[in-house]
Amino acid sequence: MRLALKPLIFCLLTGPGLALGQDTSGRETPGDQAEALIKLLASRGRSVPKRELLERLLQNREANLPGVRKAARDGDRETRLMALRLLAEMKDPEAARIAGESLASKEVAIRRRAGSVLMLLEDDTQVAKVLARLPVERDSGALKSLIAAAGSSGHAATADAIRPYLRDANQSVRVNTAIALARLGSMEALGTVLEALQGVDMQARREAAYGLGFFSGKRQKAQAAAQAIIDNPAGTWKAEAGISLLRLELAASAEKLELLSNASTLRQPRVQAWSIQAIARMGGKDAAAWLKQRAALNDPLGRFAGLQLLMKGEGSHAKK
Amino acid sequence: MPKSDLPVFRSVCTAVLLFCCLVGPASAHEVEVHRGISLNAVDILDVGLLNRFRADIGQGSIDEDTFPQYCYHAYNPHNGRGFDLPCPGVVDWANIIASNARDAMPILWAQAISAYDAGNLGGPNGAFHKLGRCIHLIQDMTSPAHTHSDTHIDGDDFEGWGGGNFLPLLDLAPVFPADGSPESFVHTAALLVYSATTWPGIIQEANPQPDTQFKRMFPTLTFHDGGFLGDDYWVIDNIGEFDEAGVFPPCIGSPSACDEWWPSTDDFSEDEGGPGGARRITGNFYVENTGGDNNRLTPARWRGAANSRTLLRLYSEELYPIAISYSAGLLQTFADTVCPPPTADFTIERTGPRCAPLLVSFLDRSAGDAIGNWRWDFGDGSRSDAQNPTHLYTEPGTYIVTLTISGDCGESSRTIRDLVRVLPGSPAIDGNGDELGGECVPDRPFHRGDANADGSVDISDPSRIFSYLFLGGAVPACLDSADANDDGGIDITDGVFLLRYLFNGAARPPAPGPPGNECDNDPAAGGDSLGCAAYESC
Repeated sequence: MRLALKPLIFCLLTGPGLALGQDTSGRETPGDQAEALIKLLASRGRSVPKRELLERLLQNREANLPGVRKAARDGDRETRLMALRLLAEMKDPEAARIAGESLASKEVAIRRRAGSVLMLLEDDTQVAKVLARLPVERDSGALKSLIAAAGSSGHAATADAIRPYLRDANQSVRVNTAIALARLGSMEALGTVLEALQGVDMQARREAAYGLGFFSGKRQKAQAAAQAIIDNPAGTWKAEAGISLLRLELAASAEKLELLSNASTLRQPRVQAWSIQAIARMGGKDAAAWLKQRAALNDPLGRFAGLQLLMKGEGSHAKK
Repeated sequence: MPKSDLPVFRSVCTAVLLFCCLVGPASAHEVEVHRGISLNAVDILDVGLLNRFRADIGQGSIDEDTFPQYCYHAYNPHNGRGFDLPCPGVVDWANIIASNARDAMPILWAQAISAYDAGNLGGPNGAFHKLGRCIHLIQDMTSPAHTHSDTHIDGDDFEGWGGGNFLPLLDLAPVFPADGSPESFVHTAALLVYSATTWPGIIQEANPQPDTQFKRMFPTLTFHDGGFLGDDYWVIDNIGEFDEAGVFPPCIGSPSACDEWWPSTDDFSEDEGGPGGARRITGNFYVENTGGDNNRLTPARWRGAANSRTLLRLYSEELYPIAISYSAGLLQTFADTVCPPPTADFTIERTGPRCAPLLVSFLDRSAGDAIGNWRWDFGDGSRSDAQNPTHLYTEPGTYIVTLTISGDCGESSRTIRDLVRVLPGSPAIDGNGDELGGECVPDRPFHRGDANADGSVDISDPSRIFSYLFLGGAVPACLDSADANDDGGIDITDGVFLLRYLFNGAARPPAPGPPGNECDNDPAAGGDSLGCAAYESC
């Protein structure tokens, strides 16, 4: 019943049939190709695995980057959303600046994405823009992204700017504020997170389960709450709770690579993927060697590890 | 790439593609599910012709799953579409016989019939191998992904789960769609599966999500609009994400957490009718990877009721039986087409009276080819495997006789309830001592002197004896009764003996005597029996 179509799609994409990004002489132009691939990535009707498209894009990373940046600035809404996220994942040096500019977009979705990108980048260059947007942002989603960006900036001083949102009417905003404060070293709002775990707002509940991991200053309470979710047969967002437990363990462990390596074998796909991603973020020779070794295995997680290397511009070691 | 290199590139690409697809298109356990379902279907039918080619059918159902044949293995009954990818523009390839499973079925079916008619039955190009390929199409329709035109490139929990959990279901019966055509097997099975795995719902870019069937099944359905968990996607606990799914972590690359649910293709609409003009998607939703994380996904409700089973279990209990019963239906249709099943029938040869004990000759009148076995049930506990048996019925009664015939083309039974009727008593005898055909005189204990068997001894009994002896009257029903003096013969002395007993006070007839003396013994102990039923002494 199962199809194994990846080779076919690879050929379709690389072969002449699809003619992605070719100039009049048949030569591919990286910019056009990047935009075409991003459009495919963003399309909802696609039947091509997104990983294949990403690999295609990243295998020619440097040549495609200008096209991705252009798409992030000038593309249509869906293309901009995808390109912004791509820039963040690729850790493009220009990504933060483009995201900072996008914080004032008229499109709510773009503003939400721009904040998320800065959060992912853990950027500290656009903090001023982030803080300036806070009081004027009316969309709760975009506001949460700004709070997350501020909380990920490493600037402890931003805590005062976001603390008032602990009293926001929106529980999800309150939870993100609590997490952001924890990321900045202030564990004051664990209660907000614990309260959300019992609430009916499923978004806030999920964010709370995921956010517990940042409360290393109140490790025991946070750990107990995460464990309670996992132990409860009817508990929801177990993967997020699992990631929180892992994050808390990591904060207290000297053997981070070993811990993450073990976690990557747990029978919980999201925890596995998160572990590999965390190893990719670690940097260093040992982590790189681990990723290359994992990428050599031709399984989904191996391909994921290979993609992490591609994102970092280190080439794929995954078997085709 | 320079144009001059294109043909070379294309050839290399095709070669790599074919190699990749040929060496590893599917993991073995999934392939084995097809064999298991196919053999299961053969087994519940137990048709000789199919049994004989059971292995070919099983192998055909596996061999169908090779490139490029599987390009036509999808069929969405809602819109008639097959897979969008991976085979665009290759319908002219020799083995791409159609764009979807429904259209492919009559083509494969015709090949199977043609092979049978040509006498090419076994082996990889034989009729039954092709028949196995036909039922593969039906079986694929019972995988939700195939009825949603979903290439399920990221894996399929249902199919994977089946590989490790499929067990034969032998209490199923074949199912036949209303119009009985081969393509209707595909369409009807796909329709059932599509309906069983599609739920109406509305998702919007604002929480809470509308109360729909989809939301009631999965109450954690939530839109993520920003913050630490990212923005612009919907997520369901333990299933996965929609919109961002499959692009970025944490979902990407994981075996069962990507692209796991979405609106069914061509079966939804988008607008900005959500709160505050939020984007809204209305339509039918479909969950591809039914297990979710660690296969623990348990929908809160199923068919409107609270549920405690995982979606995989629910699917398996509904979809595997469809796969087997519809496969069996098509197999039976094939057997009926190329080798019509026999029709059992029989009669008996009537000879002589029908009094017990009765010897009956049965004559097989069945129609059909390749009948190899006959099983007779005579209704009295006796059986025979002969084609035209004879059977002795020792007791009176009406017997239900069943003939079951079987052979390569199937089995048939015929039961006749009143063909064999064995009467009580003894054959009636005419004046010459010959049996009267078909007439039986009831057997009952005789009473000496009751020559006319009317239950008493009176003047009518010697009259009957004299009539028989001198006037050509009928033979007494029971000669022992007429042997009034028990001398072993019927003559004038018997009539005289009775007259003296009745009117002169002479001794009564010897044992067992007239009626009312049933407890006497017959001194002759049957030694002079003239044919009546023995008197049961006290």
